[in-house]
Amino acid sequence: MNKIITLIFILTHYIGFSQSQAQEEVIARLGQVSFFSYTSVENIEATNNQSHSIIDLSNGEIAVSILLRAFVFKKALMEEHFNESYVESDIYPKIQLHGNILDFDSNLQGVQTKIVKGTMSFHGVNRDIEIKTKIDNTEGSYILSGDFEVNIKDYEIKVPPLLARNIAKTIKVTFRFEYQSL
Amino acid sequence: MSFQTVSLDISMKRKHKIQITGGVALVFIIMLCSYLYTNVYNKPHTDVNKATTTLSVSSKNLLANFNTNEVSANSTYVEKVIIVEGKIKKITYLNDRYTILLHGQNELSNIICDMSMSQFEDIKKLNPGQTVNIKGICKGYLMDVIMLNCILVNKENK
Repeated sequence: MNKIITLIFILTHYIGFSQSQAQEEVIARLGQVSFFSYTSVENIEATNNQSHSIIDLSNGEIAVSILLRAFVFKKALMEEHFNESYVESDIYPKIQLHGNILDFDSNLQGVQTKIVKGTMSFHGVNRDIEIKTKIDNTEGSYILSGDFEVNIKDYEIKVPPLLARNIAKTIKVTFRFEYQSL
Repeated sequence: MSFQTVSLDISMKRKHKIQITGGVALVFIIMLCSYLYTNVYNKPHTDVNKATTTLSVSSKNLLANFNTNEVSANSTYVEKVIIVEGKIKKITYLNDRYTILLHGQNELSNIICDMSMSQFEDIKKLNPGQTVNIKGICKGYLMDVIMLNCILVNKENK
C-alpha cells in the first residue's frame, strides 16, 4: 500500500509536472517537525529537520513525507525505544500525508489560515485528518506552520504498562515547512 | 562474667561483619546504579568521529541503491555509519543548523547531510561544486537519502 502511494506520488508529482507545470509546484526538503509528550514523570521531545513536502499551487494538493528514524531525541535510549518499540521504524519507516489545502488561494500575499484535509499513514494505519495550518506567502515563497495533536491509540502504538505513566496519551506535534520552487 | 564478655564480643563481631557486608553491598548497588544511569539510561549517541566504517559509497551509487531496491538498501545502510563522496549542490543554514546537499542521480534526488555543530567553521570554507567526503549515520530514504550527525573527512584518513 505504501509502495503504491509512493509510486503514485512520484508519478503524478515528478514526471508529469516536470515538463508542463514545473512552476506550479513548490518543495520543502528541510521541513521541521517536532513532537512533545508531557507527563508528570517525564517530558519527551524529538525533532526532525528533514521532513519533505510538495504543494501543487494550481489545486492546493499537498503531500508530506517524514522519516521516523530522522527524529532526534536528547537521550539515545529514548530514540532507540521510539524506533524499536513504539513506531517500529523497521516495518513502517515513514509517515505519509496526502491531501488538499481547502480553499487555498496561492496568489494571496501575506498570511492565511487554512485547513489541510487528507489521509495520514503512520504505523500501518491510515486515518483521515484535518490540520489547521498557517500559510505565509511572501512573493511566492510559502511557509506552512502549525500544530496539532495525535492520539497515540489512533495509530495503534502500544505502550508497555510499566511505562504508561511516562508517555502522554496525546502527543503534541508542531511543524514548519519552507517551500521553494523545484 | 567472663562468659558474658565473650558472648558480647562475638555479637559485636557479628554486628561488625553485617555492617561490612551491608556496606559492600551498598557500594556495589551504587556502582551498578551509576553504571546503568550512564551507560543505559544516559547512553551516549553514536560518536561518528570515533566510529570506524567500511561502508564507503559515492552519492550517485547510494541513491541508485535506494532507487532500485529500498528494502535491501535499508538493511545495508540504515543506522550505519557510512562515508559518502559527492559534489556539493547547496549549503543551507536553517533552524540553527547547517545542511549540505550532495548531487545525486538527478535534480530531484539528493543526499541531505545534517552537519554536526563541530563542523560549522569548516563548512564556511566550502563552496557548491566542490567534491567532499562526508561521514555520518544513514537514516533512510524519502526522495533524498538522509544522513545525520555528519562530519567532513579526508579521503586519506577514512
